[in-house]
Order: sequence, then C-alpha cells, then structure tokens
Amino acid sequence: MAVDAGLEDVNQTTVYIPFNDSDDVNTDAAPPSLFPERDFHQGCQLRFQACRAAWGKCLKRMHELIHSLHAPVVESVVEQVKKSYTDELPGLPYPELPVVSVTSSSTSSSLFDEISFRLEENTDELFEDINDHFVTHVFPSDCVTITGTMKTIVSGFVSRSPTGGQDIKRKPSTSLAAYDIALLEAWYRVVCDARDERYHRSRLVVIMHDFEQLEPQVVQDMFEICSSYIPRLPLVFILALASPPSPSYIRATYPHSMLALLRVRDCPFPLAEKSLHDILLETFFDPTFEPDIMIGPTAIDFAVDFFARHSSSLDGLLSILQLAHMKHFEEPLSVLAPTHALERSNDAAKLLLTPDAFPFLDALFARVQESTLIAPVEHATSWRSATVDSLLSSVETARDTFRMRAKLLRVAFRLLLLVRQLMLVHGHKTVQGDQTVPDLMCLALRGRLGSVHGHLCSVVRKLTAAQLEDFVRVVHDFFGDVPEDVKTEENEVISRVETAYKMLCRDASAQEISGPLGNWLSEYFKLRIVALEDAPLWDIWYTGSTPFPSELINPSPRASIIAGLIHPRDYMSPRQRSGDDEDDDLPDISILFKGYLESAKMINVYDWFESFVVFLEARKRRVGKTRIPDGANGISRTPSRKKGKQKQVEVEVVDEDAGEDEEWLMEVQARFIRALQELDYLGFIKHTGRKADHVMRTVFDSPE
Amino acid sequence: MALDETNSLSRLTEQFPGYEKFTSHITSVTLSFVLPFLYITDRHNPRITASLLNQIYRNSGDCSPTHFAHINATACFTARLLYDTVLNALAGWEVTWENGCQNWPGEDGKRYNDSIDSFLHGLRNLRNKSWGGTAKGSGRTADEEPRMVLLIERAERLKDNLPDLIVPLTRLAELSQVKITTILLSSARWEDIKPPLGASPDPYFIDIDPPSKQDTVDSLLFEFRSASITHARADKQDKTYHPSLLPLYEQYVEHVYNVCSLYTTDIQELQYIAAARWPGFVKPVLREQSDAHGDGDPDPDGTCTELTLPASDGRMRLLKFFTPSLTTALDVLYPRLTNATDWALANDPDMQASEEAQCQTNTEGSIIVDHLPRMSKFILLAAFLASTNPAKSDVRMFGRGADKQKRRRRKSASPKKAGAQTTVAKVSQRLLGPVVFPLDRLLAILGALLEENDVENRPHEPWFELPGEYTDMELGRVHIYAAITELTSMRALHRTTAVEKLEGPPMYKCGISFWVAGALAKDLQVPLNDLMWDPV
Repeated sequence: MAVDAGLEDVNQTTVYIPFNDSDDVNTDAAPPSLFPERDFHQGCQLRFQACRAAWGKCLKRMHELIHSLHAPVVESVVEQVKKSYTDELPGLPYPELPVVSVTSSSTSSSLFDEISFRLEENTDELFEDINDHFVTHVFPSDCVTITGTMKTIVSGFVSRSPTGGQDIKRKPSTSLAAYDIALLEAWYRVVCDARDERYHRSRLVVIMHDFEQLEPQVVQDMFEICSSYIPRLPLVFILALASPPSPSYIRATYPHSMLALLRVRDCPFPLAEKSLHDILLETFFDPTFEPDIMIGPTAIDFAVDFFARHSSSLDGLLSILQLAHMKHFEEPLSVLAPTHALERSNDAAKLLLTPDAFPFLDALFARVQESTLIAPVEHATSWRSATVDSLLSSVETARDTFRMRAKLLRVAFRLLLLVRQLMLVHGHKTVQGDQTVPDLMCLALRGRLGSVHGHLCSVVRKLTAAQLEDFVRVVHDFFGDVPEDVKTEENEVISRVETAYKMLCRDASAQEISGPLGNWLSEYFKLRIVALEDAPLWDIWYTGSTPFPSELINPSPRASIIAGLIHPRDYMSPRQRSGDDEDDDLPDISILFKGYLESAKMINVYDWFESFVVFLEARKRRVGKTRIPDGANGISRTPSRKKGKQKQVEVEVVDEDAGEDEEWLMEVQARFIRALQELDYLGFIKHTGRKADHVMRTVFDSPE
Repeated sequence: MALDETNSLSRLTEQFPGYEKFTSHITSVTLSFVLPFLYITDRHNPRITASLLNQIYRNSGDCSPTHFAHINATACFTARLLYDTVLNALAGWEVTWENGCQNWPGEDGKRYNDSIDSFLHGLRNLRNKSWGGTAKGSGRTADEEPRMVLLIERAERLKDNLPDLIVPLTRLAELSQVKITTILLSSARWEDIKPPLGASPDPYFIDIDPPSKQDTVDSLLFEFRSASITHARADKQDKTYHPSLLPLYEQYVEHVYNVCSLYTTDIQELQYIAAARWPGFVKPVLREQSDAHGDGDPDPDGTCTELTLPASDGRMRLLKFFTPSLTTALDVLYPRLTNATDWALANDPDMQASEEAQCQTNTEGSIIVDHLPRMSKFILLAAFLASTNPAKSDVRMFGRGADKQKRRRRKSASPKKAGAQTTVAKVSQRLLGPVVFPLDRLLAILGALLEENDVENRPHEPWFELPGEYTDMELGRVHIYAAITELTSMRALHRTTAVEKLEGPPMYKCGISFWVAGALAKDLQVPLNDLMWDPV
C-alpha cells in the first residue's frame, strides 16, 4: 500500500519497492517430473540419490585413471629436478639454468599440486622434518614488472625460516631489498649450513603457472638474473604451458640470447586422444570394474567427437559423462537401478502402494509383463497374483541378467581387442581397419561387430605354427585372469581354449588347432557381443541410444535467445501454458521482437511503438473486456518533436487527458519501454544517434 | 709481488687468448687512476670480456688497493638495488642472514640507498674508512688513496631500467671526489645509450676485436685443459677429457671451427657444439684403447696412463665420419631446439636409436601440430587468413557465388602486370606481419572455412535443412568462444583490446607463423594457397 501511495505521489522522486519473493517458485521442492504419467511422489528424490551414487562410483574410477595418467609425468619432472646440476655435460661454456616445461592443456591444474607435493615431501629417513626441495609458485598476476617477479620468487623462499627457528627481523631501509636475489643467496647459505648438505642439495624450484601469460620481457630479465646466480643457487624452473609442444611457444617467443642460458627439457603428456580412449575403455569395458550405469553408444560417440572437435580436456569428459548419468536418471524407472533401491530407503511395498505411485507401478507392471521375465504360459494367470514384491523381485532378476550380460560383453570385447592387437603385432595389417577403439566400443554395444570379429577369426585360422603358439598362450592367459563368475559362465569357450592349449603342448599341427580355434572364437563372439537392448528392462541400467543432451554442454546462446523470443511458449513449463491462441499470451518483448525482425536496418522507435499499440489493442479487442480505446487519437496528440523514449515518457506524463484511455495508454507505453530496454540489455539494439528516433538492428539472422 | 703479477698475467693470456693487448691496455689505464670513465664495446663476446675484467681486478687486489664491483645492469633494475650491490661489493661486505641481511653499515650507520646523494656519501665513507685503515699501518699519504673500479656489464640496459642514473654513474669520480673508475661494458655503442645534451663526459673508448681462428681454438683448448683438471680432481673413471687427448681435441676443434664458422664464430656457441659432440667423437678412440689393454684391467687412475692416439689417417676418417653429425648439431643446437646434454645422449654413436632421435627432433621443416582440437585448428587458420588477407578481399575470397564451381573470382595474381603499372613493389602482408581484425570477421571467415571443409566430418543432424544453417548454428556455440579465449591465453592469438572494455567487438591478431598455418591447413586438408590474397 505504501508503495502504491508513493508511486502516486508526484513529489516523491524515489520509491523503494521492497523485494518480495512470494511469486518465486519454491526452490526446495523437487523439480517436476518429465514423465508425470508414470512417476511417483518420492521418485525424484530417490533417483537423485541413485544418480549420485552411480556417478560417484564412476567418477572415483575415472579420477584414479586420470591420476595414474599424471603419475609418469610427475615422476619424470621430479626425476629431472633431482638430477639437475648433477648430470651436466662436461665442457660446456657455462652452467645452464635447468628448465622443465610441462604441457598441461588437456589436464587439470592439480598436476602441479601433485608435483609440488612430491618435491616438498621428505624422502630422507635420517632427518624427518626436512623437506627435499623448496617450491614456490609464481602466477602471471604477480609478474607485471620485474620487481614484482623477483619479489615473488625471493619472498616465496625466504618467507620460510631456514633454520626452523625464530625469523630474524630485517630492517626495511638498511637491509637488502625484498626483491634482491642476494637476499635469497644469503638465506640459502644458511639453509645449507643448517642441513649439513654434503650429499644432496635441496633445489629451489620455481613453478611458473600459465607461462604464456607472462610478459616476455620480464621473463627474459628474470632468467638472466637467475642464471647469473647459478650454481650458487640451485634454481630449477618448471613452466606450466598451455600451448602444444610442437610449434614451441618458448622457442618462438624468446630470443637466442635467452634460450642459450637455459637448458629446456620438455615433459609432454601422452596424446590426449589416446588417454581418452584408455579412460573410456578402462571405465566401461574393464572386466573387473562394473559401472552402475552403462553408457550407450550415442554418449560415447558424442564424448569422442566433442573431445576431438572442441576441447581436449579430461575435465570436459567428466562433465559429459556426468550429464549422461543425470539424463539417464530422468526416466522414472531408473529409480530401480541400484540393488535393492527401494528396500533400503524404507518399505518398498508401503512406498509403492500409495495412490500416487500407481502410475509408476502400472508402467513397471506393463514393462515386466511384456518382457521375457515371465514365461508366456504363465502370462494369462500370473498378472492376477502379482504383488509389489513379486514385481520387484522380477526386477532383481532382470538386473542380474543385465549385469551378467554386460560383464560377458566386456570380457568378450576385451578379448577381441587383444586378438586384434596380437594380429597387428604379427603383421596382419588388414585387421586394423579404419575404426578407432571408441568406434569398436559403439559397434560392440550395438551388437554389430560381426564383420570385425569375422575377419579376425578368419585370420586366426590362417596363423602359422609359431604365431599360433603365442596366440593360444595369450588367449589362455587372458581367460585365466577373468573374474570367477565369468569363468563359470564361459566354461565352454574356456575349455575349448584349454583343449587348444593342450593340443599345442602335444605338438599337434598348426592347421589342426587353428581351424577349430577360429570357429570356436567366432561362435563365442557371436554369442556374447550382442546388443544390450535385448535384455529385459535394459533401460534401467543402460543409456542406450538416447540422444545426448549436447545443448547443455555446448549451447548456442544466440540461437537460443532468438528462438526464445520467437517461440516463448516452448520455454514455459507445461503447467503455465494455457490457452490455444498463439498471440494471446505472447510477452511484450516477443511482440516487439516480431516487429524488429520485420524492420530494416534502422528502426524508427515511434513506428515500432505504434505497431506495438495496434497489436495490443487487437488482442484486447479479441478478449473483449473493455471498449476499444482510440489509440490513434491519443498518440496523435503527443508532440512530434520527441527524440527518444525518455522524452516520450515525459510527454505522456504531461498529457492531461484523463480517463481510462489515458491510463491504458500509459500502461502500454510503460510496457513498451520496458520491453525495449530488455531488448537493449540483450544487445539487440545499437544507439547510433545518427538519425533521430531511430535505433539500429544488430542481429540480421533470418530465423528458421 | 712482481712475480705474482707476471704469473697472473701470463695465466690470463693463456685463458683469454687474443686479449693480450687489451689486458695490458686496461691494466695500465686503470691501475693508476687516470681515466674516470671507460666505455668498452664488445660486439662478440661481452660475457668473456666481463669475466676477463673480473679476473684482472680480483687478482690485482693484493698488489694495489683496488676495490672492485662488478654488476649487471639487468640485475640491478632499481636504483636501490644498484646502490646496495655496488657498495657491498666495493666494501667486500658479505651479507649474512644472521644479522638480518644488513647492508654495509659504513661508519655512521646511515642508509646509503635512498638517493644518489646518500650513495655518494656512502662512497666517500667507504674511501675514508679503507684509507684510514691502511693509514694507521703505514702512514697517511695521498698516494695510497684507495682506487675503486665499478664495472657495469650489459650497460645498454641502463637506458631502460635506470635512465636517470646514467649521467651520475659516468661522472661518479667527479661527483663523489673518490678515485673511482666507471667501466661500462656493452655490446651496443655509446652513441646509442648516451644521454642527451652532452650531460655525460665522453668516455675513453676501447673496442674489442673479434677473435681470430687461432684465438678461438686456443681458448677452447684452455677450456679442455681445465675440464680435464676438474675431471681428474673429481676422480672420474671415464677418460673423455683425458689430458693426453689434447692433440686430438685440437684437430677436432679446428674441424668444428671450419664446419661451423660459416654460421657462427661465437666462442661459446662453438664450445657448446664441441662439448655436445666430443663424447661421441672420442668414444671409438677410447674403446679401441680399452680393447687393446684388455677389458679386465681398467686402469685404476686414468690420469697417469698415456693414451695412444689414432694415426693421422685414422683421425681423418673419424673427422670425416662425424662431419654430417656436426652440421646437424649446429642445426639443432644453435637455435636451441634441444640442449647439448640430451643431444649428446641421443646422438651417441653406439645407440641404434640415433636415427630415430634424429627424426624426432623438431626442426623448422617438420612442424607437427597436434594437441589441438579440430575447431581450434580451424580458428587459428581463420585468424591467420584474417590477419594476412586485406579485409576488402573477404567477399571475393570466401563469398559463394551462384555458381558453386566458380565461386572464387580470385585475383589472377599477375605480379608482372602489377610491376609494370607501379614501380614500387608491394610487400606481401605475410612478410609485414599480422594485421588486427575484429572478432566478427574471424567468425565470418571461420564460418566460410567450416562450410567448405568441415561439413562432411560433422555428425549428421537431420533438423538442419537449409544450406549453411548447421554451420551458422555451430558458429554460435559457446565452445567456439571458449576456444578463442583459450588460444588467446596460449598466445596463439593476441587480443589487442583490453579485456575490461565491453563496447565494440574485441580485436585480435594472429600469433602463428605462415609455416604453422601451412601445417594446420595440410592437417585439415584446406587449400591454404587458394584462400590467400597473396599466394606464395
């Protein structure tokens, strides 16, 4: 009320409108289900938990893999730091400053934390509280000037007390400046004395983050200063480069005079693509690891394509897979994905026997009935006796079936890769094909690997004696390593391989073994590499060919904004949608945007406003609530000298024509200005000031 | 004392062959305080000259009271740093951590590093102190006023770092009334750093001549001897720097000089290359020795035994065998594409993998651009084209006419015709460096490139029907902008407008060379030459 009064008061220049969040959606409530026709009340919460658990398991595995990817790089960096100043070539004209450059574009910055942790940890048993090396970090923001750079480096080391005791006070005026490298030298002498370093010397390691962003002139000076202090100060620099090692940034940017002072060694990462393949393979196709949710071929395809096309970062891969998990758990049935999902939370029967869970039960019941879980003979009778528990137990059966199927598929796929690799080693180039490992994964998941394993098995049949021996041994060893439950399931093929192995020991001829072996393997692959979609209730544990929501990973903001302006109704939730008429609930900004699209390069604001008025009035007339105001009259009374929208407002306010028309017109005008400003805010309008009353279009895309 | 002096002088001439004249010159000039300001220009090896001067003044400390400070103008980037370093060095004061890294305290405990006046005061104090110190022992005479020498290496950097200090430093003796000689050592000429309006007195010029071949070889031989001494001291088993190999080394160094002198005569560069190749070179010789002596009897102290060197024809064959590898060493090591230690390991004559290592070292000829996502490669290529082609040519180069086959009405590059019309030959933009372009232009060119070269590689999306619609959609994707930003942070693109500036499109400049762009184009199978306004 007070606000209204304030707005009415002409003398008030400022009115405070308190924030009122009553019309906000309650954020605590679960988001509405996408499939309300077969969901139940608590489903969303439960699915969310299940998703967290499933993704957590997958993420843990992938983190381990990425970590193991880092390990060799970290190891080699540490090794190089350790060896610096000792493995120098004799006879060089002057000592060189050791520099290790690490290319880290595809990986996260945690790598450098690992490196600095490894360097600072203590490997000496004798002195437990002494770290191996000293590490300091330099960031581009510290390095705008040479003074700042040297200060960061020097104080990064000197801030640690060399003897572990009380820090000695330095007078700021009569002592060495904080950016003087002589200070570091004095400090280091004390460190050496305190440690009695006869056998190994601590290195002073400087890690320079985002090396490309540093000012080259500053870096050049810094290296020159530091190189004049070696080997008195055993400085080692580690450069974190984002650019690829091949057109080398360092060599392209810095002059020979500086490069001659350094001994640059590169520590490149393995190719990003290779590590991607390995991670996918080890996460989803490892016989010993079972992800809760199996990722389908579309998601794998998208991940690989996105990785090669847009950003080769492993963090990006994690986001993609997480999104795939989240997308999967949108499906109401996926609440059953974890083992004993419902029992664990509370009594399943109680939960599912509430009235709002009936749609869910119905859907589940229908799926179970049409699947192969129930023998066709029983079909006619069993539905009468179905209870919640029996339903859930058939889901359990389906789960076990799916799990085993996926596991056997994994084992078979790994064997296929192994055979392929063996053949490549033996010089059968043709088996290479043009498929990459992810391509093969997708084919295997779709059960369409027939031509590949057919070809492989035909090569197996033609193996020579020496190659065959090797081959049989490797395959035999492979089956020796698979988990126990797989062994029992696969006893047929295992016993056949065993036979071949024994025949080999008995010196049977190669032809005798290789022919049947090829057939056996071919049979095995045919049996095991089948589409996972054939399993009953597969969509609970397998994302299948669901299209990947790529718009969420790589959206096109501009296209979305324009689409949103043209079809605002597509972006509303279904509940808010009402009425069938297209134009009836179009927001003002969309009405304005329609006019925008129809206009030329420059838009006359006044004409725009008029068309807006006409549109609103037409709508009003259709709704038929009030009488038609004479819009044209009202507007014609406004003086024509107004230049911009602010002027319009003033003039309108001054206008004295009272009554409903006037009020309506004011409302329309206010709405117009507001919508116009929204468009302005979105960047659709450019104010040139070249032409009165005109603004310029900035977007000329033809929609659709 | 005289013996000492001649001794040290002869050692200096041995260590720095070719500098005899300079050494005697500079000692005579500075040991008796005649000239307050010297300027030494050395275009070839300022580093060696600096170390020679350093040795002259450090050694002469016993025979005459010379205080000496050797500073590097790059390292003394603020005035305070210069004052501190100079005073501490002249006073021979060692900064220790225990007393809080205090500077030379002088007598009055004042600070000498806040302005040039207090610095001069510090100099006078220093003179008085050491004068007084000696005076007590042997009676005060004006002759024994201590002489000081201040050597400033890389003096050309003074102009950028401390332009205000050049004049006071050149007039230091005059201003402080102390017998101090300022020596500026630089590879630049005095004219280039001289302060305007004749504020500085003209220095006494000394120019250093380039070293002759014999000097170069001699100084490398000296380095060999000192290396063999340190080796012997370290009691190492390997005989790579065995003293008896010296004649062979002499021949080897001469050969290295002959091969490399066309490209560089820098002593330190030659030494670098020689050091990288020598262990491999001498390996067959050493192996022959150990074979001859029998493997079971490795000599316990390798320094005593003489090694028999191969006969002259053997040496010739060795040199001939290693000549090609010397050229590759020059190719790779002179631009520091790799370092000597790694190169020596990779090119060990015993290693079978040496051929492979040769292929892997990335020389300019073979640029492999991997580690970049496909879209980033396209962006770089588009940036290169935007920076090389004139903006007005874009429609002609990339515009698609109605006829798809003949879409490009490219300028029929006929340099002869152009040459006939205008006498001034126009330099290609590729050689002039990249021009700045706005983001929109980059995106437009990128769109044209993608439409021409990337359509087949995309996953099929059925809902794009109009030609070019899919490309348009792809162009607006967030990751295109992310890639541009990432490339900027890699400095493969240079952003020329400030990041804070919101209005107007951001402007960029391409940061890759033509060769890298060529490698990218080859990788993406884009006909780069057809898209360039000035094809190569």
